[in-house]
Amino acid sequence: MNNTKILINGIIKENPVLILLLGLCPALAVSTQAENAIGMGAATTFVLVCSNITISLLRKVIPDKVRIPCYIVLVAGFVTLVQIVVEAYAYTLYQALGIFLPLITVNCIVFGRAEIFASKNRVFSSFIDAIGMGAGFTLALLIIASIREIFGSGTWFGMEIPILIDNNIPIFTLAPGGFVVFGLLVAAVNKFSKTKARKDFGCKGCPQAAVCGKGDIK
Amino acid sequence: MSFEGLIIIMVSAAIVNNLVLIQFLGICPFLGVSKDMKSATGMGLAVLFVMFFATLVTWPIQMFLLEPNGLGYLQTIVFVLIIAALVQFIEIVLKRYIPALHVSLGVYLPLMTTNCALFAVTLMNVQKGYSLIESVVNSVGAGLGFLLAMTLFSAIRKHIENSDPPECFKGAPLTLIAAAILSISFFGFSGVIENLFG
Amino acid sequence: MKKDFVMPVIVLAIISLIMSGALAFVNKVTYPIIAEAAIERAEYAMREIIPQADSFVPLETDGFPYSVKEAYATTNESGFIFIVTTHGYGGDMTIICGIDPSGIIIKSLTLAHTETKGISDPVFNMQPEYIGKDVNLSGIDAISGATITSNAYKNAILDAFSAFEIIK
Repeated sequence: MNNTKILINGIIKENPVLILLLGLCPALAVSTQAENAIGMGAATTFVLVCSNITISLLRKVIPDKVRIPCYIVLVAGFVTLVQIVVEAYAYTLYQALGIFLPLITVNCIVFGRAEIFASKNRVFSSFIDAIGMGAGFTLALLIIASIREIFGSGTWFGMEIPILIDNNIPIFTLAPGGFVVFGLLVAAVNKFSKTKARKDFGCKGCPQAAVCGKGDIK
Repeated sequence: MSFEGLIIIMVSAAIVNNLVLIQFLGICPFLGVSKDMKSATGMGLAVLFVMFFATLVTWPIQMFLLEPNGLGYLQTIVFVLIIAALVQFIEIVLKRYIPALHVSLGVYLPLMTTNCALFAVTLMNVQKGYSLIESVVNSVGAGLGFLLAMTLFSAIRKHIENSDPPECFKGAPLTLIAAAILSISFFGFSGVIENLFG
Repeated sequence: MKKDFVMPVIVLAIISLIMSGALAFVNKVTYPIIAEAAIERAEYAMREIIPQADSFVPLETDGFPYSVKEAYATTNESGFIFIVTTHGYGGDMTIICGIDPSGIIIKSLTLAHTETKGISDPVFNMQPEYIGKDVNLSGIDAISGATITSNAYKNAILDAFSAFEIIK
């Protein structure tokens, strides 16, 4: 695969959230405002880039046996780094993301890319892959968050939208709204995509599958 | 800490602030392993089980090891590693001493290593400044809430499987919309705390 | 066999050490910034409640209602500050409330909440109405449509008063 293909692959063809259905916890939880979606997307992309690069660099050094613990330490380290920096320089974002900032550590996407891509590919390709996946994640979050913010709060990036601001539907910003909007989006993707979208949740691309080695649990 | 306070923490963790349906934690197993009742309850029990032990281990480490030494910033790394090690340990112990439990929970234990609900609850206990007893009560409550959500949802999914939606809604989309409806029903519990204990 | 076991452990240990070292460094650089900002935010909120206070002294919260998380006295006896966390409709709601030595509310504000935008707005808009009220909170009624939020707010204020009764 050439690098452009890898990039496009992450954003569209294998969009981690909308196609692969991974990393759903943060995708649903922080997608109440477009601004938070961008913040979460940027934080996750940063962790992805760092972890993909280091894991690709160390792919010949890390023994297979302690592969998973090594990934855990590296990813958790980068997440803490982001956490500290965001707390120091962007406190509003730090509060908005709350517990979901440290939870990037257990984000399936980050682990999944480490296991599936970075541990088997050269550094530059891994970097591109991380950018693509990160952009795909951010894009999906932004779409979900935009719908939820526009209808739920009547604003977009904090800007008031006439008519909707007085007729907002608060349930969009609550948990049920998140499930519905995401469900409808996946349905839309299924309907209009030429590539075969995933119909179900499973272990493909999930780091847990690598850990447990069980494949789909039936 | 009064008994009433503990009850409030428990009810709030299990129902009012349900991990999955209100707080969006542990969505992956909630959607992925809820196809049938047996695996759903197995997963739920495994989470409850590990959550209890993880809290017992992580809380003292945070309070007596990390915080006094100004190492609070290592929290994420240490907690994730401890949970990973603990899961291995529990698996070995169960295999050797309680094989019956190992048979029913064994498949789900390795999944706990990167379970975000589990990790989040141990972090929240520290963030909210809970004592050890409060933390354990909160964890058990959250675990019970997870188990409840899993069991309820697996029962609902049985019916979804038999329905005949438009092609593009088959599978994941319909499951998500069912989750939304279940989540709405849990919003009915908001305010329970105030009216019961207020 | 021995090599198979030792190498992985060494690699893992080295990675952990390097990572911890890097974090320790970043933490050392940012720690003063974070700590300063936190103090500033707390001071700012408390000043907003009692502008005439000179400095704030933290109080022991033993015996206070469970919801009262922090309490401060002012050194020039212009009042007490209570930080109360209660359950609202959508989750925890934290308010800060200032009570003067004679038991009158100086001011109260919401520090953090997860209430539904729009629906709960009237509750937060009526915060000025609490100013000057005593423990009876006469004239403060629940807001229809947002009963749970407004009751949670009212209960938080009442909890602040029970704490005030203990220390006054």
